[in-house]
Amino acid sequence: MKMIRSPRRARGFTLVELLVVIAIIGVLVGLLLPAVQAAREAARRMQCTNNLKQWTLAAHNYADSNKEFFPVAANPDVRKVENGRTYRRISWPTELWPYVEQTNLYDRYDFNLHFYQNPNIDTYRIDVPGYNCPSDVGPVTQDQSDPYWRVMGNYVTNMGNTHLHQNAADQQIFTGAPFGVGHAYRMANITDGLSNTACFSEIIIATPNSVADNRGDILNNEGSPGFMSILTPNSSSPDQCRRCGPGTTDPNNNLYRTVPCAVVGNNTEYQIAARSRHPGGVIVSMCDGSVRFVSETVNQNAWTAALSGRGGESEMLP
Amino acid sequence: MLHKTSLLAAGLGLLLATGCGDTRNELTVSGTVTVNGEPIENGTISFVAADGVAATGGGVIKDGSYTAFVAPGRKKVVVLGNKAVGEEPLYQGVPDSPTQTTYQTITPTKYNAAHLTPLTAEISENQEGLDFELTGDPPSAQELAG
Repeated sequence: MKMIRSPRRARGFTLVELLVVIAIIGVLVGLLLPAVQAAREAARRMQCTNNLKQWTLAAHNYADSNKEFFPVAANPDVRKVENGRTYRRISWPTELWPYVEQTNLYDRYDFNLHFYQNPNIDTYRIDVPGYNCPSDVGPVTQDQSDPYWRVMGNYVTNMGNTHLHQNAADQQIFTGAPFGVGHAYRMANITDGLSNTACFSEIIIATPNSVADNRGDILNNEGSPGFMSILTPNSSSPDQCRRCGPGTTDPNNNLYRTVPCAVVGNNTEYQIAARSRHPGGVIVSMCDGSVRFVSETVNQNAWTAALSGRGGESEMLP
Repeated sequence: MLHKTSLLAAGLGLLLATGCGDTRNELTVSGTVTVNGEPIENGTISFVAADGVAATGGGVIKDGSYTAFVAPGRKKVVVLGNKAVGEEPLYQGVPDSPTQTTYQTITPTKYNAAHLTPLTAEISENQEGLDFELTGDPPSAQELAG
């Protein structure tokens, strides 16, 4: 009996069929992976948004129990400010500690001493949840061999349309802000309305584990306690600091793309733009407690209007 | 069959390769900046939209030249330049303090404020040789102190 070949094809898959299946699976995974990464970034962004909201609510609670004054954002020396109190060198998180459940730190802080003196400096070495945006490097400190090292952070106060310290030209155009160096402003000073005026935003820690760059040193009154509207968010134009980390001043260096910097000789030329690692823009909290994402393509007028406290502008953030 | 498969794969590959670009449509401009004929050692240049309806871009100035990324349109140009003049201790009154370079401003005050600057530029395409010549005295102590 002769064997008759079956006309049916052999059972199993051909090489081409297998390759097609593998290719399809590959494509699907390729589509899915960026989506997973995007979901992770979305979660980090949400956490970052929450931190900003907490600081804004803390500022509100502080104002409620301090005759409607916002805390002093940074005090440069021994100075009596508008709320009647005399401060030494200090930055804004200190007075907000009791309102973010850090009463223990607050109780250890001696307001009759500068922040860098004992025992105060120890309180600036403790990482408070809410200093850091998870999209950036996370909790870091400065170089711990430095005698005055502190923890670093991402959140900064709105100091309006002028430099960290105002020069003569700045004083002609200053349109108010909730926070300032050597000043404590009242909610009533924000005549543009709390919902139209920014309170907090974020910056990128330029040089973690180092004292080479001011940006991220939020606990120092001469570090980066605030941000200004001189540049729009994530601007390609450099921040102007007293100290810039290696690479941040070099257009050929990768750091320059995210944290461009130029060194200046005076604090009256010192200014920092809002910057973040979120794709496309920065998160900003308004003084009414709402938090929003602002695109890095926002126009200069709208950005200046959002940061000014009494500019009377009609522009709104898009 | 094979032909169809490769066509499909190529199509999907193309789809994946097209990513997202930078959201800012900024042009690249470059040139030199001098004060009274001297190149600026160190500084910044910013291009602020004259009508205010664009994001602000710019770049660093190094040894007299700059490369900036700027959205198109009519611009007010803000320049701050300084030069290194020595070293000072990082912490005053601390023995063995690390030092930092001291800088002195060489650009007149009017160039460092968007509401005062006389410099303008029209940016419509990538551009080289967009040079600026500044004149005047460095800012006085009162102007800096405020």
